[in-house]
Amino acid sequence: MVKMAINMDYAERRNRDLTFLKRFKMSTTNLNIWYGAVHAVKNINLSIEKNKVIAIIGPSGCGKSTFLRSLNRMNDVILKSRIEGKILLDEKNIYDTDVDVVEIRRKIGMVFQKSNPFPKSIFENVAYGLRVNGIKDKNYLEQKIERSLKDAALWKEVEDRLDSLALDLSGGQQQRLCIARALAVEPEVVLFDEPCSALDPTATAKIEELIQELKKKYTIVIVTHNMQQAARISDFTAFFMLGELIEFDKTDKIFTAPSKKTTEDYITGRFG
Amino acid sequence: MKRRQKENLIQGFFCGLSLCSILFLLGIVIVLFKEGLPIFNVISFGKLFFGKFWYPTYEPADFGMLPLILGSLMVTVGALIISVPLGVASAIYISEVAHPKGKEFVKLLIELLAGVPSVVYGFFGMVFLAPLVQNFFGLPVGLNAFTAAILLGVMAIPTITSVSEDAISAVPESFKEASYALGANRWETTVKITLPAAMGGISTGIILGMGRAVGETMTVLMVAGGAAVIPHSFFEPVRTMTATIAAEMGETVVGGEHFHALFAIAIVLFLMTLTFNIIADFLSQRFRRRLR
Repeated sequence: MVKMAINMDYAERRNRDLTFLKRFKMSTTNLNIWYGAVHAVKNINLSIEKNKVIAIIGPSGCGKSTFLRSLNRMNDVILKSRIEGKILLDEKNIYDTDVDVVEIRRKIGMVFQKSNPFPKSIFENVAYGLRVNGIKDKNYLEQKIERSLKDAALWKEVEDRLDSLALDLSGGQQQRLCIARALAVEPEVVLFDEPCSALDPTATAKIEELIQELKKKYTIVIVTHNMQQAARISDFTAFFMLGELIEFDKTDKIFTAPSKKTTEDYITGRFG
Repeated sequence: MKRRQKENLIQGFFCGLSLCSILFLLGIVIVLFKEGLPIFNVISFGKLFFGKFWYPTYEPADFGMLPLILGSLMVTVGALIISVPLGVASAIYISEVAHPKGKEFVKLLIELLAGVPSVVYGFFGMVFLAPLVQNFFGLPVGLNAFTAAILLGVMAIPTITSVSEDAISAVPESFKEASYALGANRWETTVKITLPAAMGGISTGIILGMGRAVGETMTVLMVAGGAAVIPHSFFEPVRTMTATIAAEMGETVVGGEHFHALFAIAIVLFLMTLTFNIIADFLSQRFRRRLR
């Protein structure tokens, strides 16, 4: 009798875990990050739902970029950073010692604040990630590059000049090229670190539209300085301040009826 | 008004100072050409540059520069074969691999290499390296193009390393981050992103190092062997253009044919290094534009 109860309990928990895993692509547990002596991210527990857009907002220096960069271990590059806690991708902690960082970064792509295409041709920019992952077949490369550029809504603008230098593109085009480059390696999650902060409104609108389209295939986390942008494109919003997660909820709830005073003050523009 | 006058005065002062160095350069060029060109009254252009014999004290004298040009070329190419891989590799180590402490240490050592006077290199070559080369390869003489090339190679390393290191460090961090984010490891990022992006600066360093090797005088005078004959292998004594001028200028009659011939060599050297510098400048500018 007792044994059965335990079994049931186990089965129930297992089921609950499975539904959790099905629903959530990534989650963090008690995540803390230090840069040297600075405690940049404090005890974050956050779950990221599959095929949704999660926006992270907050004033400058609130740790939102640091948090984002920890999701694909980009902080590893920084010498003095230290991390505690767990970040699960599906059911695997990406900070486990047996995890291949390269594999993690392939699964979790990233688009940076400043568009940073390599000083190579458009074609080679998108091909780079595929090449370092060992793909040599030219036919496959060409197909994949066309697909990625189409997904990034750039194909029509560049199809007849794939061999020209990527740095000759406009700012918005460069950013979409960076998105195409990230998509080419078939990630499961795409992280955006203030992707529009250097772009004009038209280019920004294009990228926002693109992100809406991308969430059908990918899970998206976007850090943004722009609250209207978060409201426009995200399904969930996390509000960070001084390294802490103040509030995390559905976007319309955050922007219409936030449960915390600080959140309300921030989104109504009382500070930040 | 007074302030403006002061401003103008200061401007004029610095302008004058910088004009001074240009004036010196101009003076050198004028003297070079004034003393070098008269040799063409005696000997044709082709015979001077492609003549196979340099016997300036014979009667009649032979002023064929080909052995000297080939000597310089051989020693320089040999030096580059040694210094380019070592210099670029050190630059990569310093800027991409080394721990901050190791970085400072290696940088210091390489800078020290640049501070050693060339006569000390020559001395080291004569006393230590030449006998070693002679015994190791079983040669009749240790003072040859090979020994000179090793020393010049070492001497060119600091130039190549410091210019290349600057270029590699100037590659924006954002390129590397993008590469890491696509699943590239450190080595792939260095080889496929950082080095190609820094290539302009690295080639500038190589060309400047080449200029250093071509222009070096004392070391080659001491260890290259000094035979003004067309070399057939790296293990034969050679004489470079610079060593010829240094060795013979003191013993020639001012205004004589030999004197003018030595100046003609100097013109060739001047034009060569000038070309190297222009190419280096062009490359570094193109590099800067590419990275914006």
